[in-house]
Amino acid sequence: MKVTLLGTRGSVGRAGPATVRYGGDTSSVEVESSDGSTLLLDAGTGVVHASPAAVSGTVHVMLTHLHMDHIQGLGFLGPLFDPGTEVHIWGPAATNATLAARLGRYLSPPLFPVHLRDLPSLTLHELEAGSTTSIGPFTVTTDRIIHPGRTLGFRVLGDGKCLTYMPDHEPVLGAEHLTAEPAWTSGYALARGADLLIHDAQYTNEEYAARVGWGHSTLSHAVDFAELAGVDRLVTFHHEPDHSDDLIDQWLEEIRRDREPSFELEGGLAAASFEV
Amino acid sequence: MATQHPIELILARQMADAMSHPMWITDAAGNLVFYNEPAESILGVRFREVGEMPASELADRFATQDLDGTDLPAEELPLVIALTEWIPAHRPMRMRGFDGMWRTIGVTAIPLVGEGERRVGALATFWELED
Repeated sequence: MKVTLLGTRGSVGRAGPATVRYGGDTSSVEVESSDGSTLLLDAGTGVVHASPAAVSGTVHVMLTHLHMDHIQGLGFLGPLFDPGTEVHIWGPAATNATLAARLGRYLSPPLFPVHLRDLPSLTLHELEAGSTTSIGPFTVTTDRIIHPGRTLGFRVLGDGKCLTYMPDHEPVLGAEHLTAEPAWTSGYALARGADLLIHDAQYTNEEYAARVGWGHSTLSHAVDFAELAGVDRLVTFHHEPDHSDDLIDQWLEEIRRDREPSFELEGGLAAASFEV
Repeated sequence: MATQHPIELILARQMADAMSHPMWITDAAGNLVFYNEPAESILGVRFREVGEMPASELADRFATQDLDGTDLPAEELPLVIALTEWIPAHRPMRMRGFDGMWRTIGVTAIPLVGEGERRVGALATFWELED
């Protein structure tokens, strides 16, 4: 599989000279299998950078949750307005409203000029936690992970490899440190032994202390989680908007030096691609 | 995939861990998966000493009686009601802890039903009553 980071920023976009390398667009990732099939994971503003292959033919967009930084790009996804392109959007089920009703809050006036119901060739799919779905050559297993609201993590199998995607995740919630017990760790089953883990690393330790319960991790939490899950490679994601490229580089260098992780640790750079 | 408890149980344990009143958590099969520190004084043993316990062992470890001293059928226990009828249940009762001591307690159990109506377990809170 080829995995490309289309948007890496968390919460809100932040374009500017200080965020050129790690990027200013919000969460979106493209996954391509060896046969050319594609999946788009989340549709933050970064989704507009999807490859031509990912936005033609039959398009699949899988949403971890419906916070704005994960859906804002939907309104600007060309295939949604092309009657010749079949678009499937997969998102978490809820008990109080359908996926259409919840997405429609954004994709309708006054927030957006076009109604969701007016988009041609769109099919919505509600994903239950714990479900496994086959999409072309991909098999995607979902589960609820700790983040406010209905939020899923994805375990994507393709070409015999495993990508785990948890852009917004706070496995440490309610504890001082990540537990050493896999059975009691949010997201463990999805991430166990993954070839590539893309994981929330939004905050510094100081920032986290003031934002417990907001649903995000520190770089240190992400490293702890990756160690526990035994992944081969961790790519940090959902960068805090106020963090500059230079600061993210510095923190990565420090944690590589201090922790000597047993896996490959990389910062999630805008447009970076990984062969899995 | 490796065994991992459902997110609802993980969150319930984290909540119980933070509470100052006794709480007990079972999975959907009735296996004890956690009780918190305040529960240890009533149950008579630290959780870390006994750990998770199969449902089949619980009746032997923690005997129960009605307030008049008659044995309580399992189906009348609040936790069992929560796990079989999936409704909250409450009753005062007597329980013999791991230390062999009988105590009079009140028990309130609630079922834990997650997303998609997934039945993931039950949570009970209990407290000592005056005899």
